[in-house]
Amino acid sequence: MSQFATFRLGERMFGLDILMIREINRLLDITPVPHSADYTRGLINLRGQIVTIIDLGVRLGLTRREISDNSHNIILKTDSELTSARINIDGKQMSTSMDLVGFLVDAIGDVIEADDSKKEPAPANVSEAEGRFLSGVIKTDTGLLVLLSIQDVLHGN
Amino acid sequence: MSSLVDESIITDFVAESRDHLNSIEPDLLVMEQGGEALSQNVINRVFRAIHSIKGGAGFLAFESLKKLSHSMESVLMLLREGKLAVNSEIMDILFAGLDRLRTMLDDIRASDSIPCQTELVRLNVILEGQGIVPGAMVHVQSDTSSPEKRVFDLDAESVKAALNRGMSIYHATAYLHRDIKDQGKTPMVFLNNALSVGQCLDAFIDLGAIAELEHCLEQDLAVTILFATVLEADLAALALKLPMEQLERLDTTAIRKQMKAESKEGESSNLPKGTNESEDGNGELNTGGAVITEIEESSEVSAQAPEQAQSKGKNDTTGETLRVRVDLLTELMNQAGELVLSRNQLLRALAGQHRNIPGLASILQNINQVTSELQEGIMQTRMQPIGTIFNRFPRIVRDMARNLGKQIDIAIKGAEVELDKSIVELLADPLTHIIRNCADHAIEPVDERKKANKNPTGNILLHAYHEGGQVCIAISDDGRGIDAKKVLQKAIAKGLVTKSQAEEMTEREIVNLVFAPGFSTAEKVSDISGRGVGMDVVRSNTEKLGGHVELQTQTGQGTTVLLRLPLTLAIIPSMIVGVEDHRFAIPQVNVVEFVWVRAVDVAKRIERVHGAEVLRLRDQLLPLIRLAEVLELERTFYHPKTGERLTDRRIEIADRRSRDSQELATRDAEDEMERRKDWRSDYNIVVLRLGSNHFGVIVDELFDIEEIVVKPLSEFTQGCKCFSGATILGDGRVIMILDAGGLVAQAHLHFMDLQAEEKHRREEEKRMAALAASRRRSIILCTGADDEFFAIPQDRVMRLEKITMTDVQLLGDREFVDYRGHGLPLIRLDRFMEVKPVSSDLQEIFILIPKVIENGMVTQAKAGIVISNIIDAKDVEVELENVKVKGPGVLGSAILQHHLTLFIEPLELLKAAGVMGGEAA
Repeated sequence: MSQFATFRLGERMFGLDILMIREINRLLDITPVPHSADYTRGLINLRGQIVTIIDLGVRLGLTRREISDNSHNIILKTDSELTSARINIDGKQMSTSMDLVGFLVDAIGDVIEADDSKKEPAPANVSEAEGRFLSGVIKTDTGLLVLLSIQDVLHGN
Repeated sequence: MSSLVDESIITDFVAESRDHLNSIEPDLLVMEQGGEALSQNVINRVFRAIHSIKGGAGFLAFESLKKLSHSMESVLMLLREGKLAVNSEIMDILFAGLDRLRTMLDDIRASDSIPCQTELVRLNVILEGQGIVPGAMVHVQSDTSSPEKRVFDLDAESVKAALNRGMSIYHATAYLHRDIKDQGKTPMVFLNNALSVGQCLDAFIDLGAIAELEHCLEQDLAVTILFATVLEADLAALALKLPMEQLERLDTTAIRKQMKAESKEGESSNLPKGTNESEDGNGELNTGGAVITEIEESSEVSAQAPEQAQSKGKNDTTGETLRVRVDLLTELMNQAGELVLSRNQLLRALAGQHRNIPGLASILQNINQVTSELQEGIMQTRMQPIGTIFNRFPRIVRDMARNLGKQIDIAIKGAEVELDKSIVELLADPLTHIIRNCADHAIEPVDERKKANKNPTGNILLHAYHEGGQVCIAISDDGRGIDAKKVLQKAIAKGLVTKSQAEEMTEREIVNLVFAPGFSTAEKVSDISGRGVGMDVVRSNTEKLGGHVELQTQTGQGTTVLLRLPLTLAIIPSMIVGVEDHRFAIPQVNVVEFVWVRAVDVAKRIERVHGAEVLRLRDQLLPLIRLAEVLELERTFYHPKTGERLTDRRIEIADRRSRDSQELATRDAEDEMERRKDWRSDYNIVVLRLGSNHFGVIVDELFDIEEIVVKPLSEFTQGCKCFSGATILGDGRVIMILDAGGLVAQAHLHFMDLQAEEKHRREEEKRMAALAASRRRSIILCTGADDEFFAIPQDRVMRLEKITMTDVQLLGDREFVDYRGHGLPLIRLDRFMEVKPVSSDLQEIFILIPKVIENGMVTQAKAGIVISNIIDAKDVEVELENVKVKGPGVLGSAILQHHLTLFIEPLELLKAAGVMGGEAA
C-alpha cells in the first residue's frame, strides 16, 4: 500500500506518491520568467530558496490555471533528497530534478491509501497529450485516482 | 606504505608542498637576476623550502619526490656555500626540477612512476662537477626496542655538514596519536617544528614496528626521525615536545673519525655560531668519495609506550593560518547572503514599529551592523591576492624569453589586490593567454628593438588596482603594437567583416576585432604583428566573470589590455528596474548611465535607423531595446482619470499617430494628450555596456541599487538567454537578473549597422558644415549715405583709403584722385543703382579699391568705390535675399546688425563703370 496526496486540476483528481513531495504551500506570488516554456509558471521564494513552479494544467494540455483561494503549490523533493532517502516506488529509484521544482494545482485533496499493484493503464478517454504524462490509474473507494509520471512531466517532450 | 598513513596527512603535505613550490619559484627568479649580489636570505629560503619538501616526502615514503628534492637541495647547498655560482644553466635545471616536483605533487600517489631521471642526471652532473658523489650514503643504525636494528641510509654530505657544524644527531621517535595528533598537531606541523630547531636527516613512519606493536597496548604508529641539531638532548626533547626517553643521541665518533681520515687536507670547518638557526655554515667539506660507515648506536632507548605524554601549553598557534575547505566557505558565504536578505526583510517589516517597541531602533541597528560585518568578514575569507596567479608569470615570461631569444622583463604591481577566489582561479587562463601573446608577438626580438631605437629589453607590466568598486588588471607591453591594417586584412579574409563595413570602421573598432570569435586560428599568428591567440576566449571568460576587456594599442609603442572585474561573484550590486509590474536586476558593472527622455521630447530625440529605435545621445547613436518587448511582456497603461491599469495594444509610441485610429477614436482626445504628458510616459533609459558597445534599455521605472545574491537558473529556466540568474530581493520577491549579451541577441541588435549609420551621419554633418562654410562670407560692412549699408566681400578688396574731398579732381563729370602717382577713377554707387548719394557735406570720404586679378596677377588699382564710412570687417553667415534695388554687381540683401545691407560684387561694378577689360559702361 502506498499513500497518495491527491489534488485537483479542473474536475479531475490526480495522485502523487507522498514520498515524492517535499511540502505543499500557498506561496502564490509567482514571478514569471519570460521566454521560458509555456508550462513554466515562474519562480517562488521558498524561505530563501528559489523554486520553479510548473503550471501542471498547461503541461497536461489543459488551460492555464487561474489562481484561486484553493490554489496550491506541490513542491517536489529534489534528486539528491530522493537519493539520500533511498525512496523507491514500484521498486524503482525515483527521480525528479536537480533543482527545486513544484506544481501549481487547483486544489489539494486528502491523502489516501491505495494499492500500487492494482495500478491499471490510463483509460482511453484521456487525451493523448495528457496520456503521455500519466503512469496509470488506481480504482479507490472514492473514485478513479490518476497517477502522474513525474519523469515525463518534468523531462518529457 | 603511504596507504597506511592517514589520508589527511598526505593532503596536508601536498598542499603545503605546493605552497613551498610557489614560494620557491619567485625566489629562484630573484636568484637568477641577482647574479653576484645575491642575498643569502633568498637562497636560504629556497633551501629551507626544498628541505621541508624532502623531509615530508621521506616521511611519507614518496621515494622519487624525496630523491629529486634531495638532489636539488644538494645543489642549493653548494650555491648557498658559494661553491657554485648562479648561472642560467643551473637555474634551468633547478626550474626543471621544480616543474617535475610539481607534476609529482599533482598526482602524489603515482609520484614514484613519474620519470625524473633526466632531472636527476642533470643535477648530479653539477654535483659531480663539484666532486660530490650523489647518492653517497651513510648507514646509521639505531637500536630500538624492536629486535632488529633500524638502518638509516643517510646522505653523506648532509651528515658531514651537520657534524662539521658541531651538531649532534638524535634518533627521535614520536607516536602519531599520542605525541602528534592528541596535541592538535599534524605530522607536518611536527616535522616543521623539528626543522625550525635543526635539520631533519631522515624521517619515516616505522611500519616495521607496526607488526610488533600488535601486542602492545595501543597501536600507535611510531614516527621516526633522524634529527641533527646543536641542541643538547634535553633541550632538543623540549623543542620537539617529546619525552626525553624518546630521544636518543647517536654516537657519531665513527663518522667523525672517518671524515677526518678522508679529509687530511680538508681544513677544519668553521665552528657553528651560537644559534641553531645559523645555516650559513661555509665550512669546507672534504670532497672524497662515498662514506660508508656502520655506527652502532649505544644509548639505550626503549620504544615502550611512555606513561605520561608531555603536555606543553599551546603557545605556538598565534597568528597562524588554518586550512579550511572552500566548499565550507562557499556555504558560509551563501548563508551570510541569506542572512543579509533576511535582515533586509526584518528591517522592512519593522520599519513602522519604532515607536511601539522601545529600544527597537538600536536593536535593529545592531543587527544591521553585525550582519554587514559578518558578511564582509566571510567574503574576505574567500578573497585571495591576485599575486597568487601573477607570480607565475615571471617564470612563464622567463622561459618564453629564453626560448624565443628575446630579452623581456616583467614587472608586477598591485599583487596584493584581492579578488574572490573563484575569480582569481578563472583569471589564470585569460591572463596566461595575454602574457604569452605579449612575449611571443608583441615584444620584438632584440635586433628589431635596437633598430627601432628601443631598449633591447622589452617590458611587460602587470598592474592590478581598484577603480570604481571594480578591480582593474592592466597588462601593458612596450612592443610593436597591433597593426590595424593587418588585423583588418585578416578579418576580411576570415569573413568577419565585409569590405564595405571595413571601410567604415574606426581604428579602435578594427583593433578590437582581435576579440572576435574566429579571428584567431591555428594558423601561425606571428604573421599578424600583434596579438590574436585566443583573444575571444579572453573576452568571453572575462565577460563570464561579469567583467569586460578593453584594448589600447599604438603602433610601435605597445599595447595595453585592460580587464575590469567585479570583486566577487556571489554578491553583486545591481540596479533594480521595473517594467509593468515586473522587476528585474541589472548588474551594476554593466550599467553606464541613465538617460531620462521626457515624453514631449521623445519624438525629437528618438528616431529609427534600419528599423531599430535609436537615441541621439551626445552625438552618438544609442540603439534602444524596449525591455517589455524583448521579454514579450503585456503592455499596460494607467488611465489618467481612474488610475486603472489597462492593456495597451499599441506597439510603439513613435507610431502612435498612425496606428489604430479606431482605438484612438474611442478614447477621449483630451485623455490622450494628458496621458502623453503623464510622467509615466517618459522614457527611462538605462545605458548598458557590452564589450565596447553601448545600448539603451527602455524601462518603466528605476529603483534602488541593491546587493543581490545570485542564484543560478534551474533546468526549467535555463533556456532563457536574457537572464543570467535569479535573486531574492529584500522584500522577499523573486526577480530575474538580466544578461546584457542575451538581451542584445534576443533583440537582434546589430552594432555594426549602427556604426555605419553613425559614420554616415558624421559625413553628413561634415557636408552640412561645408555647406554652411560656403554660406559664410567675410565682408566689409560700410555705409554709403548715412543710413544705407553695403557689404563687400573682403577677398575682392585690395585697399581701403581715406581721402579728403579737396583731393578729388574733376574731369568732365568724372572724379579722379591721385593714387600713387596715377589718376584713379572714383565710382559713385548712386550712379549705378537706386541708392542715395554719399552726403556732399563730408570733408573726408573712404574709397574702397577692388582687387582685380588678370592673368593670375593682381593688377594696379583700377578704380575706387566711394563710401562714407567703414563700420566693420567680419564673417557673417547669411542667406541672401533678392532685393528690388537693381544694378550691376548687386548680389542681394540681408539683415546685418539690424540693418538691411546690400551685398555688392565690386568687379561687376568696375565692368559697368568701364574701367575693366575695356568693356563699355
